[in-house]
Amino acid sequence: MDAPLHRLLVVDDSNVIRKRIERANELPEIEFVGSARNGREALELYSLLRPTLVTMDLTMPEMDGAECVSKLVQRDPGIRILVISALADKLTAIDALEKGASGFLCKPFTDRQLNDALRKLIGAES
Amino acid sequence: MARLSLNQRVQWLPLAVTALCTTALALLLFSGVQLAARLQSASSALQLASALSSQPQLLRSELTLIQRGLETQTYVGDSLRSLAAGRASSNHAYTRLATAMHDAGLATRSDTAALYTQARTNWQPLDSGLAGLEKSRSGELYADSAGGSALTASGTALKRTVDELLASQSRNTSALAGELGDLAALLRAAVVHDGQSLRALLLGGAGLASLLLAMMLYFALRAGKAARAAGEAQRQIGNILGTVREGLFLIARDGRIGGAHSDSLVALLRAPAPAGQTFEELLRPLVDEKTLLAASKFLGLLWKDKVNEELIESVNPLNQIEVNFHKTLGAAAEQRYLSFSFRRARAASGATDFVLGVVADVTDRVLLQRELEQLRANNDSHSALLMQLLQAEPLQLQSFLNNVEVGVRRSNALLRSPGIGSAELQHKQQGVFREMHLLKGEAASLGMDSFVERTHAIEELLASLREKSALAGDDFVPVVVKLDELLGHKQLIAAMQERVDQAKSAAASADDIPPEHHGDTAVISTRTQPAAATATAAAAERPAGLEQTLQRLAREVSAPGGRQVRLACEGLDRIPADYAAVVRDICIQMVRNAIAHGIEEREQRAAAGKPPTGAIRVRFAEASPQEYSLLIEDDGQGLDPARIRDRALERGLLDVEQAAALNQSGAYRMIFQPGFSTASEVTEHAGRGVGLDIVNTTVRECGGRIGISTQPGKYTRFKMLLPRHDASAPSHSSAA
Repeated sequence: MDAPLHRLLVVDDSNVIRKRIERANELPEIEFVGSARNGREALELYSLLRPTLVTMDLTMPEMDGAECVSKLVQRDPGIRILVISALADKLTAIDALEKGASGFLCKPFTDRQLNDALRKLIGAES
Repeated sequence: MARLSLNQRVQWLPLAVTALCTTALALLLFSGVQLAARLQSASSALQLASALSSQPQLLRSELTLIQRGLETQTYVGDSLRSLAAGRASSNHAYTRLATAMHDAGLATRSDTAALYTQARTNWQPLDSGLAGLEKSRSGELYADSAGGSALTASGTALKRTVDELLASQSRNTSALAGELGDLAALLRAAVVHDGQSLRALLLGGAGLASLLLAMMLYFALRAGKAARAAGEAQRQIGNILGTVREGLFLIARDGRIGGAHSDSLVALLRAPAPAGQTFEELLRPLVDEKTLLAASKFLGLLWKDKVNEELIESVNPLNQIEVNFHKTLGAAAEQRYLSFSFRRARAASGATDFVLGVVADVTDRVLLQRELEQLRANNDSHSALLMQLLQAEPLQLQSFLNNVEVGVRRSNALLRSPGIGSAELQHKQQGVFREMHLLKGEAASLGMDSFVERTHAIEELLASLREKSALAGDDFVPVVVKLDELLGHKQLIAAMQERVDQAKSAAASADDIPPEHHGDTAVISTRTQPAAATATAAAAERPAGLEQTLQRLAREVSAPGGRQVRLACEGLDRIPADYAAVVRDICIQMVRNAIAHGIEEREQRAAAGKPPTGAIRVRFAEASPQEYSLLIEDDGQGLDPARIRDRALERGLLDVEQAAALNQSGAYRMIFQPGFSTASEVTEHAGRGVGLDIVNTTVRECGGRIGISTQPGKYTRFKMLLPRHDASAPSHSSAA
């Protein structure tokens, strides 16, 4: 496939979820490039890895997801961020979307739901 | 994009064609008018030329007539006058012919112009000859003589002039007539040509006009068809909007709601037609501030094309909202569940043009779902109940169920008792609260969660009444209802227990009986259950039962708080029958209290250098021939007089002055006050401020006393002395 690869960065404080997203991704257009445990790490890794796609947990130590979303979008307005969080507080999720995230996936999710969400996320630009 | 340009073309085409046709028609008519004018001039030129062409011949004839007349001396006056008139009219005709030819555009045509000039030139000598003739006629022409009439001198002169003129102009006049005839022929040809042109022009104009008419008819027909189609579409949209059960509406980018919406919207929202309102204004009376804010933000997201619509539907805060409609003229007050969903509507350019909002009443669905959940929960709780029943010891359970019945009856009696003053009602509230609290403690110790929940709910209700400034009798109605439900639940459990017991005993006896008696269990079970055996079992079980109860209570109360407790009991088998219930109640309260308020959490204990597991000791003994003693001791944080004082102040049990004057033992006594509790959160096990006041009341009712000794950070010890009712009677321990 000649299409440019989407480079995926997974941001989540849970090791289990990070691994799970990495393994569940079955889209050939998306290449997993790295994962971060919190917002601060995500920003550091962004400079190194230049991801085009990010999955972002909202409640994390160090720097929460919403703040990280707004910082990432500031650096790269074209970046596509999928916010992944429990639905307990819709307002927090909406905040993150307002700050520039492109989609939301509700926890808990199945592998299929994740892949669907990623597909919609990258499909949105064409 | 293509559709848009097609639309534009369709609209512009008739206009352009009509304009073109109209212009062409106007031009045609204009040139027609010009051509007609030319034709008119040409035909008058033709007329003049024709008239002129006969003129030379006529003049010549007149001249000949004059010549003959003069020769025969007849009267020539008339001929002379008509000659003069003929000359004048000819001159005039030439001028008019020139003008007409000029108007007809023939003056510039070489052939006609040349012929005209030629004719004019040939006319000139004739004209001047005739003018000379007129001048030479100066006197009588004839004179009568003897020989008859003879020409006079002037007559002779006239005759000479006429003869000369006839001689000189004879060739000239015929040439002139020929030239004028030719000119007339040319002019006729021009008239015929112009006439043909005009006819062609008129034909063309008529054709164009018909075309225009046809076109206008066609476009009018099409416009009519389009209008009919639009009208039909409009009617269908109207039908849809009038019939659809969902509320459909459009939100523009400025947040305003469009004029077209489904009729159901008004009915669903029970609000006037929202056209022109913003969505926020529409929503404001239905939801709380937080939801409103979330909804506005969510709507904002829909305008951001970068955000994937399908990936954010799950954060829609209006997915399911509970709406409480106030009573209005047409409808009663009621609670409904509404579900809003939103969809971006894109214009041809691809950007979001407006958002389609859909609102539906999902009350039935929500209620059905709740019902199903309730059903499932009931099923779960029924199986849970059954498990509880199977695990509980029958005698303990029996006694608990009796206590529930007694507690509910006592509560009802208290509520029915006379007294409607605020203080009396508060007293009732406290009394019922105490009953429920006791039952809750007992239920928790037995692991009967269904009773814990119910008694806790009644406590909550009573607690809310406590905070009310002015109590009314009606406020207790929900309490009465809940008490009734509790009693109903007790009866259900009792019935279930009976069934379980029957099943148990049937199973037990089936094990005992010889094989040949199988199949007749009902008879056998009555036969193999002698009353004496049951009584013995009960006596043996009772004391052990209390310890078990307390152990279970300790486990249940300590588990959620992150505490570990070891409970040591002593002498509980020596409790006399008349104190069994009292000591049981006291122990349940005190052990629970010790764990909830005394024993610290593990970390706290570790920090204080204590073992992680807290120790509680319960000891019942005969202190003297007159008294029993009940000791309950924990190695927890002890009582803190300062904390007790603050709490009492906070709870309004003391004012500032009283608090300042409170000494240590006074502070310890505070903990027995109704409404006092040092736990900051209300849980099932602590925080209501009931517990120690029950113990206090119970002990006093028995005529006993309570003593406290405590050391902050080390221990708290409660010692209760209970009078023996029959000091001479043998102790219960010997019977057991």
